[in-house]
Amino acid sequence: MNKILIVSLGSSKQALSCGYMTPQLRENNPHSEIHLLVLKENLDRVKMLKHITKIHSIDSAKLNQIKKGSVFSDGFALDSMYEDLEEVLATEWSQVINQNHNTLSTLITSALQTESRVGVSLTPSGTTLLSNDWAINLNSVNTQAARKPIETNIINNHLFGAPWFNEGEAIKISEQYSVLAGQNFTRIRNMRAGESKIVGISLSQGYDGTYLETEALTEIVGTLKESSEYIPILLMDPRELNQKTIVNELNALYNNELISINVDFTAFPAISTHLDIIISPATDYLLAADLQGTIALELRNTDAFKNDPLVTNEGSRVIFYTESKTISSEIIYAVNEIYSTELPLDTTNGGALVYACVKDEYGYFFSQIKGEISLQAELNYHLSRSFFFHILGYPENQALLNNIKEMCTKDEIHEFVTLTRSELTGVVKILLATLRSIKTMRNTSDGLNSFLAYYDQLLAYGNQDNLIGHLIRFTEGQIENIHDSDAKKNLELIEKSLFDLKSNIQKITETCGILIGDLSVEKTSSMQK
Amino acid sequence: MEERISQYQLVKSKSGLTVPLINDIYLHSMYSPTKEAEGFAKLHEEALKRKRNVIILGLGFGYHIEEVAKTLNKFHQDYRIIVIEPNEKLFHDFIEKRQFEDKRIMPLFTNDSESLFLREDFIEFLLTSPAILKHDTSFMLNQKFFTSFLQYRASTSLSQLRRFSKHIGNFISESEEGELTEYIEDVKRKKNFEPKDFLTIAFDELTSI
Repeated sequence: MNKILIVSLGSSKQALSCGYMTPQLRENNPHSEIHLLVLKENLDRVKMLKHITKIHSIDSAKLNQIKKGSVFSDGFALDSMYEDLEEVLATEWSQVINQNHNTLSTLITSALQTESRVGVSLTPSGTTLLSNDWAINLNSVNTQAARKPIETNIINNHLFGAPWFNEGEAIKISEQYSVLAGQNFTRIRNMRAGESKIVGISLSQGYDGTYLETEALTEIVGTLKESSEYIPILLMDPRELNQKTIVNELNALYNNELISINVDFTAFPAISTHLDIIISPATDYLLAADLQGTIALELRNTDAFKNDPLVTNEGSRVIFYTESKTISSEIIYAVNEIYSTELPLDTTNGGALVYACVKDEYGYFFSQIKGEISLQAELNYHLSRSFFFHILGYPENQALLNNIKEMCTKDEIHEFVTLTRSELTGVVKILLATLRSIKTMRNTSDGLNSFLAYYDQLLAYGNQDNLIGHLIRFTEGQIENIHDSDAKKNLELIEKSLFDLKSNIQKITETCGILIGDLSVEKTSSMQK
Repeated sequence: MEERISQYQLVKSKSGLTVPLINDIYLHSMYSPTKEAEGFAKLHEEALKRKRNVIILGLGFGYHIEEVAKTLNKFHQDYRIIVIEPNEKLFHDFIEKRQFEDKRIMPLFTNDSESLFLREDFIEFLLTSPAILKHDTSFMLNQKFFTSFLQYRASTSLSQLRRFSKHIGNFISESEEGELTEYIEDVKRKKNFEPKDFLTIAFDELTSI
């Protein structure tokens, strides 16, 4: 029996995100066992994931307690770790997938018995080995991009050869909770004549510290409650005692008529299937709701895309805001927009940046729909995304190019193209010099210093946070991933990577030509054939 | 380490209960050992409210331990008590004549404090952060032993770790010597890694969190 192991020894968010992989992994491997290795503190999160044959865990809290206690021998800590991992170490895995790519997961992945390590691992000489170009993209491009061209979830699926697909059932729902939730929500819906949307509002604090302050909560709850179209439900985390106080204060304003639910994480899936929309900072609960296909308004502070948004479903929104006074208006605005209602709000311009989650044939992406827009940044994001999907094996996104030509003014496109072309000129010059220096190295014993100097100059373009910078970093990642022990073969592979870079630069140049009207989309396709 | 015992007797208190007399010291009150034991439990009531697991230093003849168990039973659904006694004769006399009915009380004889820290079950118990109560008269009679127990510090040398670990061979070769932290740093500097080396570095990574 084939056994596949997913290693996710990081945060609860990362562990729970394995739910985006497991349906596709199961579909591709219907007869294999799928195991999961997590930290023990995340067990309660992942035990609700479907398609998992067995969950293994490392009790890091216990290990630390032993290690830090001066009366405890470190020998016990070593034993504790080994006993947690005994079965995992003894098993010959058909595939080990490093899901979260942190140091710990990478070390454990590298220590296991398997012929196939997916993602990041370490070679016996201690160098990093990336299993495919998707892993290179994750490790070299995404880690330094302010806004990732391709979302981590999508890349994780492609690590084991599966496209993005989140319509599979990822989460188990307890029958007992399901029956109870069904009864309760039927009663809630029957409170109103006609069909009302049930809006879940989370009182919890997100991973980034974001939370809805009482004033904003009061405005949101009040507006929804007074409408005929919506029923607000407050979602409380039973571990957070202060939330009960907040709910009591709110209830005092509404004659104790507010509906609030104390949501244990195990029971939450049964509840979120009945929510039409959930309003929440980025928390494990929001992630679980997203895994079930629930539309969400994800609330974030304005470190913008520094951390991946959680939402992946078409129609969800991500709201980045600094001004807590206007967040209630931003949320109501978003709700109005999604459901075509006209709830009253104080302002239509609260200053937040709002992105819509959009599905396409490549997966999903985020498109800015409100707030001050940097068109160059948006163009950079969309074109980088399209470009990387293409070089990673997908068809060219011709629809995107047509869309850009339609939606943007000539001046806006011209500005982007001019800047890109000028940077490309510099890159091409250095690239050609680098390729020439490789030829010199081959024909004479000199040339190494020259090659290194040009190569360093080329890599410096990778510091830019734009399409060209991403491409240079991707190429650098490919070259760093060359592990051939034969020096001559190594050089050939480096040269090939640089020629691929040249070819990719040519693609960018053609794209610029299409955008500016020098080339038509059809002409480019025929050139490529 | 055995303290010098020159006198050992079991005598009867005024209330008819057995009281050990060791080196001229009565381990319990000669008037009412049970009343004294109630006082002992009351004195430690706050700690017993907070903690459901307790280590008691000194067996005596068990009266104070039974009162502690009664108090724990008031506050907790479940509890455990480990009693440490270094006097072998006293330990065996108690087991022979009295025994604890409460199965949640575990008396342990040892006169080598380090041997306790070799026991996996004792370590697991310590990890629950139990309260530690000392029976004063027992402590006085065995001060050296109990002090060495309370001041025990585990060694970090690899040779000592091997005494405590069943699985150390999966991380560290038999031939390695020195301190664990130095060994881990040496592993990180290696040019060629085996799977056990990745495991060792992962251990360091896990315990640096």
